[in-house]
Amino acid sequence: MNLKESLAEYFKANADYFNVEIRLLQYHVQVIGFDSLVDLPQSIASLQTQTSNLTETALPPADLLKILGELVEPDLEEVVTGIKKGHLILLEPLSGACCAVLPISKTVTRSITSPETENTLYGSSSAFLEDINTNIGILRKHCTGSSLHVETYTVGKSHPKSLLLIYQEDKINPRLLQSIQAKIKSGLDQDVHHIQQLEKMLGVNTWSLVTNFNMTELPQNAAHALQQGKAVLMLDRYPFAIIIPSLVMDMFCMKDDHNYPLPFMYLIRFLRILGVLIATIIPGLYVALVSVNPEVLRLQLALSIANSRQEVPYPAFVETLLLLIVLELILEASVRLPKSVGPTITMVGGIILGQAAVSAKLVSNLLIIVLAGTTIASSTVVGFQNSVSVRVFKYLLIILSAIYGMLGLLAGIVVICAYMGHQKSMGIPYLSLPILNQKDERNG
Amino acid sequence: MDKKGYQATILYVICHMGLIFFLYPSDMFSGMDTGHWIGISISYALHAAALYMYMKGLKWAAQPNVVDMFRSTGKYLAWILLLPAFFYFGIAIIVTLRAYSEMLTLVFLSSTPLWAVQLLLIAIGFLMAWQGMSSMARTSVLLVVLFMFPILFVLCLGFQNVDWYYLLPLIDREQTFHFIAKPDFLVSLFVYAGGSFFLGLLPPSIHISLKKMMLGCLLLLPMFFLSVYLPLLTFGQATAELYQFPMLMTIDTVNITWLLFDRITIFFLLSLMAFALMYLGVTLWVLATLAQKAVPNVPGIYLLIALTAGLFAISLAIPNWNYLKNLQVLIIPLRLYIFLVLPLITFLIGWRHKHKANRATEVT
Repeated sequence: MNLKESLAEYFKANADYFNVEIRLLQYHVQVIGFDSLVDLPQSIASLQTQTSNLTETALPPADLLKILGELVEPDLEEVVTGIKKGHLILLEPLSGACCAVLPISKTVTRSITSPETENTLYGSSSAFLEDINTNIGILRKHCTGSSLHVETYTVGKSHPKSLLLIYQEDKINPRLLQSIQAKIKSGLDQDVHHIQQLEKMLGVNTWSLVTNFNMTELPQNAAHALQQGKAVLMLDRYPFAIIIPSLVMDMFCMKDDHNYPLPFMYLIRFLRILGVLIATIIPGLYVALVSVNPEVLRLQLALSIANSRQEVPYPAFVETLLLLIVLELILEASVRLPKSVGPTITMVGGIILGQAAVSAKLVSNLLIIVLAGTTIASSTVVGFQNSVSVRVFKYLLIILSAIYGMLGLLAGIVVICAYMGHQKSMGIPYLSLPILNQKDERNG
Repeated sequence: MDKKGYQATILYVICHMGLIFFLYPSDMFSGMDTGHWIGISISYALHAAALYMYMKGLKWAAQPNVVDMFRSTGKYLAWILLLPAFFYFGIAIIVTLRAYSEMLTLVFLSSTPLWAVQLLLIAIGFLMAWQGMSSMARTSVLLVVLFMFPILFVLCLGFQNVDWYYLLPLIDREQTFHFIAKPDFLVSLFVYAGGSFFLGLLPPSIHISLKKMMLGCLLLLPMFFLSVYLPLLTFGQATAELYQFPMLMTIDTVNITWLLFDRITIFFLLSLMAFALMYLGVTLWVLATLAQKAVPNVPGIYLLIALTAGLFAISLAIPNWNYLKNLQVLIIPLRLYIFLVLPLITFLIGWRHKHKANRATEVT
């Protein structure tokens, strides 16, 4: 079986496989590739233009193909790899010469748009795409220094993917860089399609409640992280830059803040810290104050709370948990649902359910306020993955508060602090300052 | 990671903060009738000197930790010197556990059984000790950021009901120094004794800066004074003497009309409890580290579990408050040993090392 037939056999289940014969100079050449990745008419036209411009026309086939592209061994494996990458394979059947040509490809990525999951007010509003090469391009426009290094790795055996490791050589801690490189090199044969597989490859704790990576869609944030001495990973077909290590201050600071006047920048960051504190503590505080330690409250306030809870049949713990879970469901639903249905869920969840639950005396008025505040506050942090961590921590506080009251609340806070103190991301403690190597440039 | 010595200083300060405000004032009031500042100054000066000697000795010896340093003098001598410390820290944990859970049930958990509170406290202490010293050092920084503000806020407001005449007499003509030998005064040294030994066991990643440490020690001086003088100025000696926890009673008298909460005591108490939990964690870690050095064959986690369980069982077995008081009196010799003798020994061994090293360099 010659190469042409074995290729046809190999790709017989692929409708977009094509194999056409064209004439280049005096030879008949097979043009092989995927219709879905290659713009065939334009590529053929380009090949013919190139050959017709040649001054010397009496070339042997191998030399001609060498001019057009990169010669490859005419065996099945190499050719298949080239085709799958989206290359155009030229095969001269008589001499058996074969080459892979970079074709005019079909556009299978969206154009650069504004970010979907993160908003900027004053910063640049271009976002990363699925296409890895475009991403490097965007990032390079943000990092114009000469010290930017981009290392490419192909990871995975059955479904190879490109993984990029980007860093600024003069900023990054050499030990951090070495440990990342070693981890990637030792895990090159693992498939990496999502973040959990990446976590596994890098050997970080996959059960961690605080995020190991910061994902950002904004090139400016990625560039900022590079300047702070962090490393950025990019995965083909994944429109986010993965920043490692992730530190506690990443919850509160982003590059966009530097575009505000300095006092506002600090105020906004303080607000975010306050938001995290409110989101984790307030539901637990409600449970502790209502069910265990009402004497801490001012008498009038305690009475009015007691009044509003008068006909509620459950203990505060169950009441809070009930409504919190409904809120989590609403959040999850509004992420999943199409944008046109989202507002309906919000309305049903917020107004109808909330109002009905109060009128039916299932929960108290105050709880609705507490939980609404909590949900809003937990979203003030930078990065969605961080807001998920904040959402998880409050349950620990609620459970401990239900048992021990205010003491349980405190114990929970101490436990969370201890937990965060123990976390490490690529050997860097989670509670270190954002400045790994040098000072954060104020206007940079 | 911490090259400047902030973490060690912060740990030292908050370990003491967790202790100062609870048991210290009542011990001082029963130990002295007038001129409390003399007593505070004497014990504080001794503490500062001991701290200085301890750190200087460690620095001179250039040994990674105090156990190796004592071992260099002789294998058995090290254990003879360190065994009292081991016992003392065990008892210190029991006392802290028991006294604090008693106080917590007294102030705001009237219906919760004592063992449940003790279990919570020791469980958190265990969790922290298990994570190791570097994690605890980072946690302590976070705790300071979160809880220092409420403490300072309440301390400032504590002056609301102060009567400055209680300050007098500053110097009593009949003032003698007999109080130094009184058991109550010696018991009050509890707050000084336990919170700085861990400095000799720190892993190499945490640096100690002598200057920052002394500054941290200086920061504690106003806290010692406040813990005694706030209750004294509010109630006067005769009344303050009667309370089990004079500082908490003082804070209870504060009335702020614009605050959502009726009792700010709870914030003060809880913020300090966070520090006290840190103290428990550090002390448990010290015990586990010493035990690990003694029996290196057993994995550290088993030792820690055994220690935690044992201490919890003993603290459950203490029947009442008076028994606890007696225990405190009984361990006075141990306490004085940790407070003064151990730093002195460290200093002397360090000094010898330095001299040896000097002679060695002269010869070569």
